[in-house]
Parts: sequence; C-alpha cells; structure tokens
Amino acid sequence: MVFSFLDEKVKLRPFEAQDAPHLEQYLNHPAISGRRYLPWKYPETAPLSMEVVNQIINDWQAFEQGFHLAVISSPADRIVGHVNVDWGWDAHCPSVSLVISPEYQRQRFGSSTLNIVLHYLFSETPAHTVGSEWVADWNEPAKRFLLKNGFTLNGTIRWAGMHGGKPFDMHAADILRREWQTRPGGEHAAGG
Amino acid sequence: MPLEGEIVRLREERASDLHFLQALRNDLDTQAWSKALPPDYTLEMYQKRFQGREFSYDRTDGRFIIELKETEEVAGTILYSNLVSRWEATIGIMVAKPFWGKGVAQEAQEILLRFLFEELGLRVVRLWTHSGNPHAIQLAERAGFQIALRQREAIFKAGQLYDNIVMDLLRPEYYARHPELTDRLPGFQVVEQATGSE
Repeated sequence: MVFSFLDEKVKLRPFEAQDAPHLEQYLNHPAISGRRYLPWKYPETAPLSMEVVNQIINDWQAFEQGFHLAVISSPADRIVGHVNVDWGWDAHCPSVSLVISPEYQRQRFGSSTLNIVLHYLFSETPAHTVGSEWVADWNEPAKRFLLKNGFTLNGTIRWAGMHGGKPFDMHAADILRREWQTRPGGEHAAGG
Repeated sequence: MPLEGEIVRLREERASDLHFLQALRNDLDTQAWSKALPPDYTLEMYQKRFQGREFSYDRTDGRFIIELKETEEVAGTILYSNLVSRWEATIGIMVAKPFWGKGVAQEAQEILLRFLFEELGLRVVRLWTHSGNPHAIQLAERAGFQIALRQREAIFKAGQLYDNIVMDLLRPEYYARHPELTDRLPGFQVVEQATGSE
C-alpha cells in the first residue's frame, strides 16, 4: 500500500515554482515573523523578496534528508502553509515544523497536517521519537497546538535570541512512538 | 589573553596533530554520537579537513588542541561551533583516555568559556550531550551549565536508548561565578518600536 499524503482536510505536495507568490505573501505576513521555519541561512524576521522565496523553494526541492511540502486545502486547492520534516541528524528522531498562513489558522489544517506527517514517520520510517522544532516562548498558540496533539514539552533553552527588546526562550517538545500509538488513529502505525 | 590555565593551553590544530585526532575519533569511548560512526576515519580524511580550512574573519567555529603546558603532550581537542555573532555558540570537547580524571577537560572548558564570554562577547553558551554520559554533564555543571532540555530516548548508543540533553550557561551566570571578572557589556532594556506617526 502506498502512503497517501492527504486526508479529507488537506493534501501535502512538493512546492513548485508557481507557488512562489502564495509563499511570498504569507511568509511576509507580520504574524508569521520569527516563526517561518526556513532553512538556517534565511532570515526569520526580515522581509523576503520574491527572488529569495524562489531560492527557498529550490532549496526545499533539493533537500534529501527529509521533505518540505506545501499544505493544500481540500477541496479549495489553496496553499495554506508548509510542513518540514528533517531526519538529517538521526532517522531515529526526526524533527517536524509546521506553518499555517494566518488567515487559515484555527481551521484544523495544522492538526490534519501533523497527523499525516506523524503517521508517515511512525509507519514508513524507523522514527522512534519525533521532536518539534523550537517554539519561541512568546508563541503560545504553537505550544498549545503541540500539547493538544499529544506532544510533551521537554525543556526550554534560554536566551535563544532577542524579541521585543529582551532575550526570549525557546521550548521543544517530543512524542514517542508508543505515545503516538495510543492516540486515535495511531494504532494503525506499524511496528511496536 | 593567552588561552592557557595552570596545566593546559589551547592552541591551533597543526598537521602533526592529525594522527592524534584520528585516533580520538576512532575510539568509541571518546566520541559521543552515533552520527560520527563508523570509527574508520583515515588520516587522509583528516588531512583533507585540515587543508580545507581557509583564512576568513567570518568563521562560525573555532577548533583547538588541548596541550599540557609542562610536557607539551596533546591531551584532547575542544571546539566551539554554530557561532551567532555576539550572541551564542555551542561547545564540544574530547579528551584522550590517559588524561581522564586529571582536571584537563575542566580547565580546557574554563579557558574556552572565558574566551567566548570575554573576547567574543557571547550572551549564552550551549552544549549537547546525552544521559549516558554523566561525566560530561557533571563537567558542564561544574562550570555552571544547567540542563535546559531533555529530548526523550532520542539517542541510541552502545545498545541503549538515552535522552538527548542540551545545557546552557548565560552570561550573567558566568560572571556571577567569576567575581574576578567584570562584565562591561550593557544588559537589556526593553525598546518600544517606533510607530512612525507624528
């Protein structure tokens, strides 16, 4: 059986060059500043030109130790965000980050996407534990989102950077395979 | 400021150190991460890495040899990486087994921390280790590091699962432990963003 990167709410597919205008629009939205989850060489806060957004798409397409996919709403077929999976450090413990465009938040696109990605990692890869990417302490919605989806906060690195004139901290969270398997839908993940 | 203490000095890597570094890397007891396996690193690999370092003022890492002052024996290696200018870096250390338990790692770590806070003006220094390496955790705690994060069962080494651990040391904490030093960098005051309206 081939794994499907879709459910009734979203479809995940690679970015294409023609997606650049949509991506540029929401990456430059002030509400996304500081939580764009782009490759390290790109700024998390400064405005991004269309040229840079095209480079980001190229980098995502060339990435080999995981994937970067566009989140497409169903049935409207609009780009509503992006999801990154990286197992470059260790396939045992990949990391996941997820961005939903502000206008599409709180409509379950994020939960659907995370569910698909976790299902993929725990059923199609040797992942034993999946970590979240860092979540800034001022990003309360992201923290709530992770907890709601079965993740456990596992610590806080201090002074991750500057925000609002002062240092801010970053949280991380993880979910173990056995925890995922006790969640609704998780029992279908292979292995044990 | 010379990078030296009472028993060790930190100096640049030299071509004559490469055999030592190769042996250190190929010893399963002195490298912490499965990522670094298999232990089949050749001298040629190390020569290539050594020769690949180019002159630059924009490097984001620094690699040092730990040398005993008295005998000039090479005891280990210590580095910082992921440098974010004037903000943070991550450190790592490997000491050869004959020099374990002799204060070499602790002094080398203190020398590097002093360099990072006093010369590079960093605000925070981090390190990564795992729960199967209690000596590394104790070494870091002796310098004031705190465990910041514990990613559960994320490390597999020597047939066991361990927690991945991140530790950090803030600039004010470092200076509080070193009353002989004075921190002359200004702290942070909240700055309101200008709205642009008249």
